[in-house]
Amino acid sequence: MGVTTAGRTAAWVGVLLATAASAPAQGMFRGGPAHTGVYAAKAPRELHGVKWRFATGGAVLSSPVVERGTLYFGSGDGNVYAVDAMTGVQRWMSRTRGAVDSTPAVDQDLVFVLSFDGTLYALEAATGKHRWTFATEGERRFEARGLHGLAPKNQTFFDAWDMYLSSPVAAQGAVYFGSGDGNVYAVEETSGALRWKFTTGGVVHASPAYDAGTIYVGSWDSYLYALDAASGREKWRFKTGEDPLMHNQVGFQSSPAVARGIVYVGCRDAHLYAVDAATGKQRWSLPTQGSWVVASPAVAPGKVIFGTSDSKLLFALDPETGKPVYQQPDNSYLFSSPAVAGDTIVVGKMNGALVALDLESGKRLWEYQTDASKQNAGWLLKADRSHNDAMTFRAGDYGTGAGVERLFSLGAVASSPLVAGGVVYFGSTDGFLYALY
Amino acid sequence: MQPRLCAGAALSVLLAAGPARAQGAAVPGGRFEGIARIPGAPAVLVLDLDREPKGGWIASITAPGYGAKGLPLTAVTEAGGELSASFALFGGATLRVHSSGSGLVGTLEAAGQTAPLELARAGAAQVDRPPRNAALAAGFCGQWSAQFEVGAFKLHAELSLRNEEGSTSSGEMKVPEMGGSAMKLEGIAQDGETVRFKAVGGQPIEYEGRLSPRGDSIDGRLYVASLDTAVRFERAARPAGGN
Repeated sequence: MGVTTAGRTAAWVGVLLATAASAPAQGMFRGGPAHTGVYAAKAPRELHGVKWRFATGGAVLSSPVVERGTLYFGSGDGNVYAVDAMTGVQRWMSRTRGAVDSTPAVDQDLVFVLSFDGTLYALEAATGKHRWTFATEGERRFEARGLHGLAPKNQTFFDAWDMYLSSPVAAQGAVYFGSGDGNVYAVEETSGALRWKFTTGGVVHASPAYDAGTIYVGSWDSYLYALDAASGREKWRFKTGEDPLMHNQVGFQSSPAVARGIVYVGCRDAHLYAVDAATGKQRWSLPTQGSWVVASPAVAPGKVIFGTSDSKLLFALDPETGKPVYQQPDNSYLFSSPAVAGDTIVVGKMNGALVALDLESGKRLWEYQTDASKQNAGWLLKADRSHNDAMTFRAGDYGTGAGVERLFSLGAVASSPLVAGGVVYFGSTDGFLYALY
Repeated sequence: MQPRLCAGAALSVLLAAGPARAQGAAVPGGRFEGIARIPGAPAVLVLDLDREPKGGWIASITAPGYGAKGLPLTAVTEAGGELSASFALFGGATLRVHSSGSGLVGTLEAAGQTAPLELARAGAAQVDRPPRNAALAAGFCGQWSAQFEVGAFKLHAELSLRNEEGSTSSGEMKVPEMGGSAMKLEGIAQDGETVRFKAVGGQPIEYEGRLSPRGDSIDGRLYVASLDTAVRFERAARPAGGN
């Protein structure tokens, strides 16, 4: 009432600039502790080519982060990598005993990253040597009886779509992360000593966001939690949808983004929620036509941006009202979280492509297709590169490893892009980390 | 006479050139990326080849999608313009390549099968050198044996550790129930009374253990895939000379 769009945008710019100025660290998932997904650098408005690509031995679901010219990321081959951002030459790799499908956080010259071996690693940023490790109670993927309607209905199936591990966030001398054991942990940055743990009712593979002394994180138990960062005490919990029949429309993979006192988060119950950061009361929600919101939203001035799974839509919503500013249809499932860099959005696609769009209009600027997508598409993609579900999820293997593996064979870009120095960095399930300019 | 002489000379030139073509150009160093066209499962491979200052090659291979990053190439030989090498993937594989001008072409052989291999040049070599094996305190050197259990499986292991010239070490580990052949140790490291290493050449095995005060056992944990179990190595024999 009485506040113009331009005025709101200006206010947002002010908030974001102030946030950027006070941000203690950029080297973590979604560009900082609040996970806004907004990067200071500008993304290329046209694609010039591949600057380099770096080969690992496994799918790269992890998202790269950058600190002092070095990229850090994990791979399904069990390694954590440090790579020169300019040249793509490896600086070091550090072995874990499980897939590193989480995004590292870099703070105080340490790299914190979670592995599917159930261990949080603190590595020296310069060398990759272990400084300390912290063992959780063990990793697992979300699982349920008759999951996604798979038969037999009394069989317990693991969810192959539960592909990401929680990415740690470092703030106030602590490292915060979730685990498949159902806990949210806070450990000391310097020693790995447990500060506190908070037990939820389900797998926690979303990544906690930190803002003003509070940790926000969703669990597969259908709740979004706000926890006191110092003590782990629950401040509030926000209930989302449940699906007792198929367990399909429940739980959080999306990680919250916090801006201007509002927590924005996607949910597998097919909604994007805006929740008051102080009270946990819903401000608004947007239904997404039955499609999961796995991606974490980016919060840019005047727009909340995120993609959906089956409906393949990229939304830009008004942060105050939740009303769509625009929604762009795409031809692929969008699991990757969008990055906003300057006047450009970049986001990965499960058909093995990465697309850049104009922030203001949502119009497509350019698209890059991985070699794996070109070479392995077969009939998994239609002629227009949209998904051929009949070939991808044959014999009803939706949600099982086989269907997801076929998607991965396309060089799916489930990793969330990083934009730095005019270059877009992202991982692919073809095993490469790409640098596009 | 004259024409016959010319024909003979030309034939000589051709004969001389023939073997030269068969031998082909020397295999260049560098990074090469491409595909082994395994029927139904084309495999992307990244090959890094670098010439050692003292001659010979050092090389590693990465296979995205097969969990293999920087696997060392062994038995690297070059003859007649063809380079062949072995590596521990696809159940044990051998590649044979020669220069194609813009890259390398050849074959990948594994399990009695052969697949065409085409690799394009992709910059300078980035060989993953095997982690250096650190010299060990004398107390770790020698022959060790252990009996242990992984679930319902009763296994035993034979371990050999020794120091080498140049402040390095080497070793092998053999678990007969897991294939039988001796696996080379990589990344041997000592931190006080603790030793760590990785056995490669089959299912990778990692071990971390602590030498007992009497020096007659190493107590630690052995990691295979997602499993880990307590393993106590008992000293079987010290090396001659105590080193």
